[in-house]
Amino acid sequence: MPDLAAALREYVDALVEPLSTDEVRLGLPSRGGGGRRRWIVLAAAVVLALVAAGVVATRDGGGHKVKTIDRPSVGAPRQFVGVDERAVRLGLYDATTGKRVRYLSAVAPGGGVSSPSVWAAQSLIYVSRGLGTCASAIDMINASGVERQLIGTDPPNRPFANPAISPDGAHLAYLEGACGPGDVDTLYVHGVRTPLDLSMPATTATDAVLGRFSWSPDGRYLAFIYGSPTDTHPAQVRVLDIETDRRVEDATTLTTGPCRLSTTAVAFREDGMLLVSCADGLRPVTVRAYDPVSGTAQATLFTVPATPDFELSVADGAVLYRSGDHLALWQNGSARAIPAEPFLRDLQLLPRGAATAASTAAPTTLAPAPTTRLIGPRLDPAHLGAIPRTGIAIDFRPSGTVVLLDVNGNVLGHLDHAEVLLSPHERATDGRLHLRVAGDNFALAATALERDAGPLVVPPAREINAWPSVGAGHWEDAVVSPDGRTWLAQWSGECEAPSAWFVDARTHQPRFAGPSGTALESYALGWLADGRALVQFDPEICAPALPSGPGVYAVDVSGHATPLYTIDKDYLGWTATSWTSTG
Amino acid sequence: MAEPVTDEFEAFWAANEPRLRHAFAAAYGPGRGADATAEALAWAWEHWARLRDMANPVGYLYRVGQSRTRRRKEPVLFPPVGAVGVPWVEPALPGALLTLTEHQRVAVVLAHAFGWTHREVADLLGVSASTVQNHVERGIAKLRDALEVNADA
Repeated sequence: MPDLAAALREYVDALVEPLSTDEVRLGLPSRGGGGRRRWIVLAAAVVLALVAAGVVATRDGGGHKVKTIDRPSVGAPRQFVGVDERAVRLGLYDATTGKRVRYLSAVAPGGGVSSPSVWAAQSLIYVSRGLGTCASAIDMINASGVERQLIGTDPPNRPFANPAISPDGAHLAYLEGACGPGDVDTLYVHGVRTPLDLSMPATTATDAVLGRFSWSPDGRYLAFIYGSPTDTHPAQVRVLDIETDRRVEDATTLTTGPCRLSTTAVAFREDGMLLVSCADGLRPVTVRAYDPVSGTAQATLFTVPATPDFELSVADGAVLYRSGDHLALWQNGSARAIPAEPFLRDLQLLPRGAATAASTAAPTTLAPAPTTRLIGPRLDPAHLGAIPRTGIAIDFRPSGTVVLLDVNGNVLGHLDHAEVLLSPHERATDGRLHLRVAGDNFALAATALERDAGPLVVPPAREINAWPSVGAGHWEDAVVSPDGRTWLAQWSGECEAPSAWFVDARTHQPRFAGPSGTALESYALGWLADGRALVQFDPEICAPALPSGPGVYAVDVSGHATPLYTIDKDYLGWTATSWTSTG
Repeated sequence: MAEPVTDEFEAFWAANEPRLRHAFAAAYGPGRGADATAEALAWAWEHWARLRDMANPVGYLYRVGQSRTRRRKEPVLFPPVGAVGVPWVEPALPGALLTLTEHQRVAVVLAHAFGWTHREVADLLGVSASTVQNHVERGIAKLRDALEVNADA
């Protein structure tokens, strides 16, 4: 390579396109305006006031317009399902009040649910159930909240996601997601009643992103988003004809403008038209109706102000959309705000009949799945590495999952964090293997990996069921104390707010690693030889800050914190490096 | 309402938008890198009155971008050179970048490729200048190993 610096400069400069102040001005309020969420809500309130006052259709100048071109049928559904991101649970909601009728999915160890797809005729909802980083299954949930896994692996090491059941229940589309360098998203179209079973890898780009599936009413066409994380490749909307297409690349690409990935969504309407949302950069989002066969736009339905992300769902001619944290129901040419709490995502508007069935019907058990397929574990010898002198191997799976194997290939345990993947030798030299398991539980396996010879005994992972009283979140990792009585555990809460916790090894009771009261924004760094924990307290970002100021503190198990190094509360650009007393 | 985009803010933007963009692109790749850049600069726009008086505004914004994109935990991916429109660049470079730690990538890209001083990189990352020196030296060594070159011009 002739000039490393020049190559780096050109490559990195091409990764992210420059932003202009105009783009920020389009997407954000004037300084002091109170943030994007407030701006969006205010804009929506203005529109609603205009609609209520009889002002018709289009209003320019404020960056917001509602254009009446298409008039869907009257008779709006009254309920929708969505995922409450705080609880990571699927809920049934009233489309008028925005209030939750009830949760439909239970709290389960290992992760929450996402991407619901409603099969209205059977009152079944297909969801993706998280099982850890780069691991998820596809489950079915009935109207009573009974859940059963439909597609998964053992051990859970593949990310199956984005289920989409066709309206007639004949086909289930889902995604096996990319999870590591070289992976590609693979779209599966699975015949439920017929033997159709298509596997369509996205072969044109290894970093392609597939998702947001929507079936046509007749079950022949599957619309989806095909995009790339890079701004240089805007999201495309493609329509797959499952009777003729056999590759993702065979699908018809709609003629849209440049569309930002996070604001592009698709939903088929009952008349066969495909609704597509699109925004270029941080500009307003436009929802248009397309002919899915010719791929051309037929009409513009409405436009909403610029937003970081957008989604839509259609039923009975009405459009439920989410613009940031703002929900609205659009029908008959006007939008009505739904006063729902924020944090609702993955919305699916229910047809009237389905809403009624979901509210009242109560099948107690799930009927057997028409076709159930269990996809077995995949071992890739190319990713198999061994820890010297231990008789133990670590399988670095392409999904990012890390699996411990003995010399006979038996799985001793599975982890899922890249830090183990990056430096297993370093982790092993202190006699402890530091395991990280995403989800509600974490596990630690104390081992003696540095032994020279003889059979290696790996004790069973010690699983802890502990749940701090701070709402939604998940454990990230934990380190056992020198005396073995306490774990210092890292919690990632709502807004991914980090907090460090002590967990009693005997009672499994968690308590915040710091002054009692509200969990503060903090990182668990490790243990000192004297039994105190090292904790980095951050300035306030998502959670409150330590009143005595951010910095690194030594915290004893009673929560008393002694400052070792403090910084100014305004300075966010810092991080502490953990060290060990034995290092 | 008075136009809030002052000459002062425009000057700050012109000087620092590329710096933050390059730093986030090096740290996280194009996906989260773009989001982090946008989030950081959006925060700058909203809080300019506060930001303008800070001693280390770029370091602050770097952390804002990190914090606001924590939710995105996908692996760092660097697309092929052809996919980002620079097919003349060494094809092995994206893979070689993945052999570096996040801080090494940021330090090497900013200091070696874009000419930041070690002090400036240190302020951004919240580490000492000597640490940046180590990151740069080790990062370049790793890149050379991965690309199988002995020295660069």
